[in-house]
Amino acid sequence: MNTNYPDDDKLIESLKGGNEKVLKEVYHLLQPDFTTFIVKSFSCDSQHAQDIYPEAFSIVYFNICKGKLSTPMRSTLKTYLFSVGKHLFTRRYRDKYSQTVVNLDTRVWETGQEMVEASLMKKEQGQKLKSVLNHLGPPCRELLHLFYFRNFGFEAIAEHLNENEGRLRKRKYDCLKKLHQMIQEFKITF
Amino acid sequence: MAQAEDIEAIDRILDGKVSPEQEKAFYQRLDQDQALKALYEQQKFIRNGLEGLGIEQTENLLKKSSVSPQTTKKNRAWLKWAAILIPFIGLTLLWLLPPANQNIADLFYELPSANLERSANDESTYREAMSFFSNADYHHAVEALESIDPGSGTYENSRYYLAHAYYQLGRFEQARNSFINLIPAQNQDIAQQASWFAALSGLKAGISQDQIKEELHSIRDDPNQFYRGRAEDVLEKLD
Repeated sequence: MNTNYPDDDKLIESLKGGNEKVLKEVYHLLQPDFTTFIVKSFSCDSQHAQDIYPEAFSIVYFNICKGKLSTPMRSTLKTYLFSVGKHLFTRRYRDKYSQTVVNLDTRVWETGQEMVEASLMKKEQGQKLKSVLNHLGPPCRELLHLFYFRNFGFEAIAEHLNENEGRLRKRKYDCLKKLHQMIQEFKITF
Repeated sequence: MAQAEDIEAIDRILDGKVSPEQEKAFYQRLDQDQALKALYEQQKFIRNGLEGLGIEQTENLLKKSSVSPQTTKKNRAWLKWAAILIPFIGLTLLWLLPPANQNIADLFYELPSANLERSANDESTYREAMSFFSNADYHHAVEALESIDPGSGTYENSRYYLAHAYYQLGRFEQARNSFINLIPAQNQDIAQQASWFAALSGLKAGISQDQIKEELHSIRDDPNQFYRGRAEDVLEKLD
């Protein structure tokens, strides 16, 4: 496979299939550069840059899980993270700081914007879903998280949960059916 | 009513895992079928919501793992006070807190939400009990749940919530016995949870560590047990 960013491709792959330990390692690895970049771009307090870092990283991580950022990468992982960070920062501190430097590739800049807008919309819908989701048991919640957030297929989840694929299909459907019923019963609007 | 095939078809469309012809056929069907359209919108909402909550969950996990900010002059002053106060607070807590095993149970215990789903088999007593349970009125929930007849269709569920209500009231031995009685339950979800919560109640009730470890080992070694990972975590903490 031809790639311009072999190190970033490796990072993406390890994040995609990786566990919590890998996630935290990459998170800490990129934090100093992210903070420096945001501080430089907005001439802001470093604490403000650090405050948005967990959210920016989570958005990028989600897009890796969903396959929207996939290998071979067209730019570095850090560049995407910076783009998401800039958009998030602008939304949160619009009244306080104005951007002083724009030095990102247009395509990456636009992708970052799409990621931020989509994630804010999803988080809003998540808040509405939360009250209903709390009525599902932990096994159902974990199963749906693996399907829809981590984007794992039946085979991978069956291996992860050490369960038969056929039973897993039935369980997924039962959980979703319950969720659909409760949304109607609780009259959740979306 | 949501049908498994329809949900799977919607998921494939939303994941872009269909051919252009299949996509066209699906959207044509969607235009003509109002029930499918409603299901499609709801499924999209569920997916978006789960993704949004996943992002929030990751964010919280990462925030917890963040390194502490650099020490400034201001927080150095606090550190001096902390150096004096922390040992004092620590000793007080050691004196006040229950034994370590009980704390381990607190780390892993998760209270279920009341089962508010309604079905034709539901009885008024069970519904009333669930209402008490969801309002954290465990005394009244226990009274209502204890009165449910063993022949009732809601009996297994009522026993499960009764065990949790005992747990919430600090009646750990009763909670443990109730969970143990549920281990042979027909409903596998309840049976699995019963084994897990019986072990946690045992820790709270001060049952011998060897006995609880044995129970946790059997949970950990059961490939079909949802709680096997958590049982492993508790075992590590007990060791």
